[in-house]
Amino acid sequence: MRTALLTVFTALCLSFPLSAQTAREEIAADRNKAGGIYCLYAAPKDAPVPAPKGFKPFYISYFGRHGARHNLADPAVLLNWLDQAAAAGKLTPLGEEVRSRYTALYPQLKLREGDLTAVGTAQLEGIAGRMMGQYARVFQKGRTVRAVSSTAPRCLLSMAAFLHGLRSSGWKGGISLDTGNAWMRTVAPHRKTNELYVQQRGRIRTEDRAACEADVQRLRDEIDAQAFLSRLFSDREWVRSLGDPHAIMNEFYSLAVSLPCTGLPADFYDLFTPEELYREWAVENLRYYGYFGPSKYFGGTSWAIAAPALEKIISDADEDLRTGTTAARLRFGHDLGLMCLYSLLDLEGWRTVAADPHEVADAWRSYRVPMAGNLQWIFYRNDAGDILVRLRVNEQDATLPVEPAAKGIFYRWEDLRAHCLARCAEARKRIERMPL
Amino acid sequence: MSRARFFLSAAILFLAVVAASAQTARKAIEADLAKASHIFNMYPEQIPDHARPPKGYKPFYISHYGRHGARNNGSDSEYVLFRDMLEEAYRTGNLTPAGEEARLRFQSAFPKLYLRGGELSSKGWRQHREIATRMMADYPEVFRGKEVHIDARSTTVPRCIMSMAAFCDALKERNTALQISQNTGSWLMNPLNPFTTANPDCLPSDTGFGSPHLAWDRPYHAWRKKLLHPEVFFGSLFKDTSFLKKYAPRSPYSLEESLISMSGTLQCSDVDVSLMDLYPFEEVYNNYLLVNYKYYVSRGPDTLIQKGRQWALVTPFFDDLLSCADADIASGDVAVRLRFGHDITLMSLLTFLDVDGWNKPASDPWEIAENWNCYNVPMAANAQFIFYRNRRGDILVRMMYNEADVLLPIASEMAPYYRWEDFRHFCLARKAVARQILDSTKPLKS
Repeated sequence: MRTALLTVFTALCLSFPLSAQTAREEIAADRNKAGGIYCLYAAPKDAPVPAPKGFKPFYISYFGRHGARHNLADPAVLLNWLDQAAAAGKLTPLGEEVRSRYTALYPQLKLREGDLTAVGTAQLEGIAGRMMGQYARVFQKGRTVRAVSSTAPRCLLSMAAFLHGLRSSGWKGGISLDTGNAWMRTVAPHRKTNELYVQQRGRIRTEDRAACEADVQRLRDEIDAQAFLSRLFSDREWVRSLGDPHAIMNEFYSLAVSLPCTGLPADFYDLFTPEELYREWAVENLRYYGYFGPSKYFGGTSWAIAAPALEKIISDADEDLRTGTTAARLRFGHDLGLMCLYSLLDLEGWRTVAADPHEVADAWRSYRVPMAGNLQWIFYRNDAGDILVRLRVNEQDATLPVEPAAKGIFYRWEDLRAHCLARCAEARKRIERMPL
Repeated sequence: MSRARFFLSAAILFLAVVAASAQTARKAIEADLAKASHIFNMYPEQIPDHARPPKGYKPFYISHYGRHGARNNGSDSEYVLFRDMLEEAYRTGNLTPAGEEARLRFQSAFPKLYLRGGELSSKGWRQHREIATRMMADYPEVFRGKEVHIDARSTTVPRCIMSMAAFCDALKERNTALQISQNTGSWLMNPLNPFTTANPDCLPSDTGFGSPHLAWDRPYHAWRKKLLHPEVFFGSLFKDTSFLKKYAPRSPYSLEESLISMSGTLQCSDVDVSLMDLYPFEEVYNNYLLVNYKYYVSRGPDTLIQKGRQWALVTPFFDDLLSCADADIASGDVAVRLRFGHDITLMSLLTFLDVDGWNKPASDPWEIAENWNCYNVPMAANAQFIFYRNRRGDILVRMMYNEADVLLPIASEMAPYYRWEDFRHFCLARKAVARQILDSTKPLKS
């Protein structure tokens, strides 16, 4: 009875890790989270809960996002705006100061859009090192680590960094690496190489898309972009000639939140009030939630596009459990695939449907897919051959609606597998049911 | 030696060279059909013995440039095209015996090729691991020590990044203490691929093969019409070639060239199938001459169209080689510089360095192929500059191309080892020539 209660308690704790704080509070406590998908990875300090007696880890399946990268936006755009304003004499004293700070920084941003940074490399090496340290028994000599990556250079370099990390920790076995269109539908399900994605996007009705965009616009309209811009630019009307005020403010936001990923000694957070940061994040968060989360916008199909990715994780595991020659399967992809995968798995904390766009921030938070964010499936076996699996999101135990076999977090592989396949079937059915 | 005897010797030597090299490429391809696949030739299996360093000299620094390893055909489209052509001809009873055989072979390979276009194959992966392993075995002194830093950089093309990963992993596997940084990005492109607009000297007429501004486009097409005979090539596979119009709406020449080239890549892929032996030899050989011509005029020593402008563009690679070497030798911070890129950089690098035969102008595809042959830039081709030092601090450098010693036109009593200062001055002198060419040549079209 006591064990049962403890299990329930543990499960409850794990199930509502967010309930303690609102997103606004979390971001106020850690502004890094205002970056959403630019959030830096927080390596866990605690060792994982030990496995049930007699169970030893023997196989790992990994799906992870690339590490910290540069901003995707062309850094010349901001420079150009600031230069134009300076030439026209439209900068405030703060605007002048920001311009000189940005001009000094610019050479280190130029041509780096989307590139993995040293911070990102260190994240992946760290994750690999902890994996080797915590599950050393998985990495036996004679076995192979098999990795595939999205064709995006930052993902390829992340894969290379991960393997570098394994080697640094003493991995002596074989490695097989691959990339290319043959893998894209499973490592990057949000791309046109995934037939399910093409099908789902093709069936989205114009009015549904408009409804989602209208909600995003509603949140965006609540931001006083002019108030932000008037701190930098002295002429409201003139700034309008550069473009949409909110789009300009958003460029500065992207710069501010992406800079910690570069490791450069520069900080533009000071341009924003905490409330502005929170609201900028909330708008982006709603977009991710809408298009890649558990939202109701498109008949609840946004996450369903990840079915090929999950099916591949299952079929790889089937094969690897049969052959016993693979120590780990590693997949390096992107934030969007990971978001969908979490909802597809029905992970606690990733399936709440918000009733109103304002509630999305507390239902679903993009900063939980930080740079280098990852999902790990750790497989354990006992002498009797029973197989248990624990799921780790960013190296923290995660739960889903399957009866746990032990400690609230260890699932029988058969049960978990059946759940995954049922969810994939549900995903395909939902997309199939979308009106043509 | 009297003057007369000198001229006589020179004349004999000259004749001997011409006689020996007559039909260089044809003989090489007759002996080894794999060479007809031009830049898709595979890396040599046999690595020659290396010249021993002069007494007292130990290697301490390596600067490298490597082409990605074996890869599949550039894109999937030729795979699909060829399969569809063969299948249509099969359904309509239009295949010759060679066509029947081609269909059977290609059908078996197709599943392993489709969706793999452009990517490194496992053969390419292995090539880089083997080169890395030999580098470590040949120059152990360079990799010895507590904090050995290796700086690796790649172009942004996935097959190059994968080649870098393969190379670096082979090093790291043998010495887990090595500190290797691997990088890629547009900001690094210029020295790795100086034929992009990341190079300020590179104009639209100087860039890749798809550009409509290429200065050599017209002569190339003229040669293509002379060298290729689509009716002969396709006639060997299909009884009636009239159905091909829909597969080659623009040019049967282009279709022939791309299908022979795709067939040449099969040896690089993870399949055990060849097609080149099914095709008429003259077509395969002439296609080689044509492709070789294309590389020669776009990246080699051609003087007729752009007066050497094309190879002069490789200068940023040498800027990087020299500045890194200066800094690394002075600081001792980096032991190995690895660079991963493409065939075109290596071709022009060899011309820049005036390596025997690589800087010899010629006027037609046959004459070009006497000296300048792109099958010598195989998959995973690489240049390694190995630096040696003695106790007095004298520094020598040797150049290895595909892990074989290279003789450079630099005076040295220790060749193929050269004084670093002499090599450096030679590079600067060549750079000055390149600069002059770049400044004095204007592209014909831009």
